Amino acid sequence: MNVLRFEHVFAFYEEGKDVLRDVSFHVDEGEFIAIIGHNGSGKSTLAKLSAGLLSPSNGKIFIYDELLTPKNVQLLRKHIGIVFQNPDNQFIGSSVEDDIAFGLENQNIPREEMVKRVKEFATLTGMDDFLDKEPEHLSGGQKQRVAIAGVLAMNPDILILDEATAMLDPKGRKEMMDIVLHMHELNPKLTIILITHEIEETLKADRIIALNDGKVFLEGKPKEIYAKEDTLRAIELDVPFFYKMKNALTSIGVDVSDIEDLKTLEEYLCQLNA
Amino acid sequence: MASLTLGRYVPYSSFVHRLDPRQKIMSLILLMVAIFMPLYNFSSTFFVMGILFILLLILMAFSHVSLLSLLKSLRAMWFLILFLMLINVLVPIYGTEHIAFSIGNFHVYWESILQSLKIIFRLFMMIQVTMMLTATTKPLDLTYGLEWYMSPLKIIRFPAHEIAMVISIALRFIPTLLDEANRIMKAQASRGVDFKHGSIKMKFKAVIALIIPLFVSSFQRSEELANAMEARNYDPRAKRSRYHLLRFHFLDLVSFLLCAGVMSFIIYLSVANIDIFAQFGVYGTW
Ligand SMILES: Nc1ncnc2c1ncn2[C@@H]1O[C@H](COP(=O)(O)OP(=O)(O)O)[C@@H](O)[C@H]1O
Ligand SMILES: [Mg+2]
Repeated sequence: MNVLRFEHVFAFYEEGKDVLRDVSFHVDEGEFIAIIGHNGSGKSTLAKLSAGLLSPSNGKIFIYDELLTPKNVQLLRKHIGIVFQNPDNQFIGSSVEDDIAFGLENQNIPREEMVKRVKEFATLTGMDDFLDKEPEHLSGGQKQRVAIAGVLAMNPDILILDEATAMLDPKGRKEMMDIVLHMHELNPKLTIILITHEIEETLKADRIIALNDGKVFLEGKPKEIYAKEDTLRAIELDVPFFYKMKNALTSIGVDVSDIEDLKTLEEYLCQLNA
Repeated sequence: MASLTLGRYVPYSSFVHRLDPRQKIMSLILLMVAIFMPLYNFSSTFFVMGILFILLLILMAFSHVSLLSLLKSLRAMWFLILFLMLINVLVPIYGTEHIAFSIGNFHVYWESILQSLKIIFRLFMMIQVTMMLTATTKPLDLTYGLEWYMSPLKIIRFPAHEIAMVISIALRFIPTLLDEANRIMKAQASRGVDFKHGSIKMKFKAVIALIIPLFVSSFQRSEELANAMEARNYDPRAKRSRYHLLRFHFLDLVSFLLCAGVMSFIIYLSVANIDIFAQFGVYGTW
């Protein structure tokens, strides 16, 4: 079953300026999808459309095979959780626990259950020592961890991260990614859509969708996508270090097509050298 | 800026801090009524208000409300004090029996002076009780308290919840926006905008260079915030559960009854027009 499906979707903010043009793709349950594309290529727009924060001007969006319409948007939205880019602009509660509880209050969850879940997800994201802290006393990375805790507490089936690590330092970035990967391990049915600029974060993805100027430019496994280094360069996208190495080796006639990670590649090169 | 910090919440865990905000709001209103009740004469007023004032001072000490910041409020009121004094002295409508001193043909009466002191004392006590509330109650709890009082108005479609949400978000974003304003100021200063010196016109231009970017970014923020709220299923009209609990404890009942008792007693003194000092056998006070 497709948990999310776009069929020939068009979208704009201003009449006549289409931001997404004829976008079609599908995501299966439990998949880890990475979406890449340069600034302004329409990644955030795609995320907003998925959560029904914006309506397509044309085309259809399906969530769990149900057509998304203004009537059922409140209901279907429950499947989806989004973590946005700016840590400050998604912190709604006045303290960590209030913010994690915000979504639960909206779903009218009984208080005892809320207290339990707030504690559970604060612990999961390592924020349990900060429950009564106000946002101005937290770092960007901590605020993002609260944001992801708040979203996960609502028990979504699809987790979308829209450049959620873009404003963080390397440490904060790694902590966020660790939480996401850990969640995926805990619950393999959780579908993850990772929108990112940080190309190395896409290495573990099952599939990558590359957007360019509002269109799906490339789609496939990381292996397939990153083999096309020149094509990606043409739309201002970089390639992870591992694939750069692989591509370079391939171009000088070394066969490394079976190697799946950097460590094996290193060992193989050492062997060749010996 | 000093006046902004007046009565700001100070985190402690005194029993006043722990009282239910709804009860504290009600008690504030009760005490305000008590403070503004007209009593028999000046002596009675100052006597009763003095006792109430001292009781409140003790309560202030218990709840760590700073006396200094209360005194600072007097400094903020100096113009009002001067104005009241002048009006009362120039237009002596409250009795003209006791001359304090004369300047030529113009008499200044004791009644005028006492009358303005009485008004100032009442205003001061009003600030005192308000500060007791705001310094011991988190702004958000205050908001919840007010929402609770406004919620019956929901029947006439008064948006009590929405108003409370707006206030709590505004409170939440004050530090963020102050930060942002600081950042913009530094950025503009590094581009040569001078916020400290220059003519009024230059200063005005400098402020514009601060306000415009602040507005632009606030609008962007609000859009992102709205998206984040909606993405998390926020619907102000839907039924929402509450994470924050307002709890009415035994201590709340006690403090409420105390305040209600004080108010009732003072209302009784006022309505029965009782001369307090006559009760003690002292007659003929002013
Ligand atoms: N709220 C908005 N109003 C008008 N135009 C917008 C808005 N948000 C994005 N755009 C425009 O839509 C295009 C795609 O933006 P976006 O989806 O945010 O791209 P990305 O997330 O890939 O950087 C950009 O050209 C951007 O200028
Ligand atoms: Mg974006």
